[in-house]
Amino acid sequence: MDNIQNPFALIYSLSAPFYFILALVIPIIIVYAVIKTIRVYSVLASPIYKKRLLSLSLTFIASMFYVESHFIGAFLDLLYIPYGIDNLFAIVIFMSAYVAVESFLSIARRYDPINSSRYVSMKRALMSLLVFCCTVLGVASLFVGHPVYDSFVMLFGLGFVPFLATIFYILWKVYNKLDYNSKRQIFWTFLIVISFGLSGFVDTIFDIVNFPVYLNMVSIPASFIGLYSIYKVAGHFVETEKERSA
Amino acid sequence: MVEPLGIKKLDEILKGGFPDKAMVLVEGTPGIGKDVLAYHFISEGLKEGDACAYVFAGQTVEEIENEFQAYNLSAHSACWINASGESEERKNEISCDVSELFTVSSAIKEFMQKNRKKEMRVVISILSTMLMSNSPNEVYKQLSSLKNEFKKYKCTVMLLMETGMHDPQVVTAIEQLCDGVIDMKVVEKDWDIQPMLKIKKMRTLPVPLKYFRFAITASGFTVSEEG
Repeated sequence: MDNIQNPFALIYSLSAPFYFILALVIPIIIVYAVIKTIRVYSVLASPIYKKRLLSLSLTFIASMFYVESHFIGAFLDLLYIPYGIDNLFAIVIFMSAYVAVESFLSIARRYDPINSSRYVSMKRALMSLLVFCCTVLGVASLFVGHPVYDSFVMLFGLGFVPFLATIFYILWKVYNKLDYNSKRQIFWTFLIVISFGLSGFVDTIFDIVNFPVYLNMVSIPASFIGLYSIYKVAGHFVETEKERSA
Repeated sequence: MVEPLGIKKLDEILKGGFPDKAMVLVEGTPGIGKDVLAYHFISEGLKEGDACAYVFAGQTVEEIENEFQAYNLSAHSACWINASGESEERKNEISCDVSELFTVSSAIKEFMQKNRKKEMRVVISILSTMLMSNSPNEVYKQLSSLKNEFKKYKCTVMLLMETGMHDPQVVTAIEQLCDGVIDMKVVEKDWDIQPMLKIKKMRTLPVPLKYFRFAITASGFTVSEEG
């Protein structure tokens, strides 16, 4: 009865079909992204740009799997995702995001060779945070459902925030050294990671600090932003021109 | 006189190759394979007995040599002009700094003076880097002055430039300065994605205003049928 009186709780209780539709759509998006990645990969020649494509694509696809696991979890009303599968996807997201940023640093080094050593130190700082986050997540997966799991999530937060901050710092520094398509890809890919990754993270924190379940509804607008970003990224893996101009 | 690239179909389209002493701009989407076209240009030049120089930055000579080898091309005896601003110099390597354009010009002139009795080929793969590290006006002036030197020393030049990074006015000005322009892009139709190239202009040649499909495989750069 309480839930019905609270409009937010009411909206949240009606959101199940939305999660269900998203859960059905995400596998289609993943298949589309894989096909598009393979096609674009075949036309690229430069190893750096191939690495950039694969890592961004993997970040994107692993984000989709992460979201899918959470939607299925929400749909089945699970407090924890079994076997910490979401954590394993998160590790893949972190690693591929690192490789993507590394490829952006390599591209920036080509256009700004004078500051090459600065880019190398940025890469090292990001690598240290990556190792910390992935280790904590990996170990946490062994304690899913155990009271100690929450402490790992908190510990992970200590690495996650500086990891994101370092990525933003690096991208801000290299942004003007990149081509238009790389800039566009950076913007939309990291919007995907933030909208889905952060909403998943907030979900977990809300669970830990016992906030009302309906506050998880924050993930619905985040999903819309994420889906629009997916559309933008998948459409622009490489700068193309439509055939009518050929 | 023409300077062949060693790519059969492209040489046919160009009636044998680049015009002698021409400065040709190759522009294209980042990562599409402009470098591979340049590797063919250098490798074929070395086969013909020309003196060849490759101007680069942000990479090592070993990395570039490995890329040549990956396409079964040879860069043996090429001169490397490293514009990364590093002081360490090796045999066949001249150092300069891309943020100080006169050092790049001096390095290229040094190479041309050393080989003045031969025909020469130069690839400047750092045009985009030059434009990002210096004012476009300054780059334009340096290129104009170098163009005269290239003609004097019988040097054919290939400039590589990324699209989507520079002001369209700057791109147009550089296109006008060059004797030839080759445009490489990815063309998309429904699910089909194809890398294509177009000769936008080439001195002394009636240019076919068509796109040609190309592919980059382990055997290098191949141009196939009309797009």
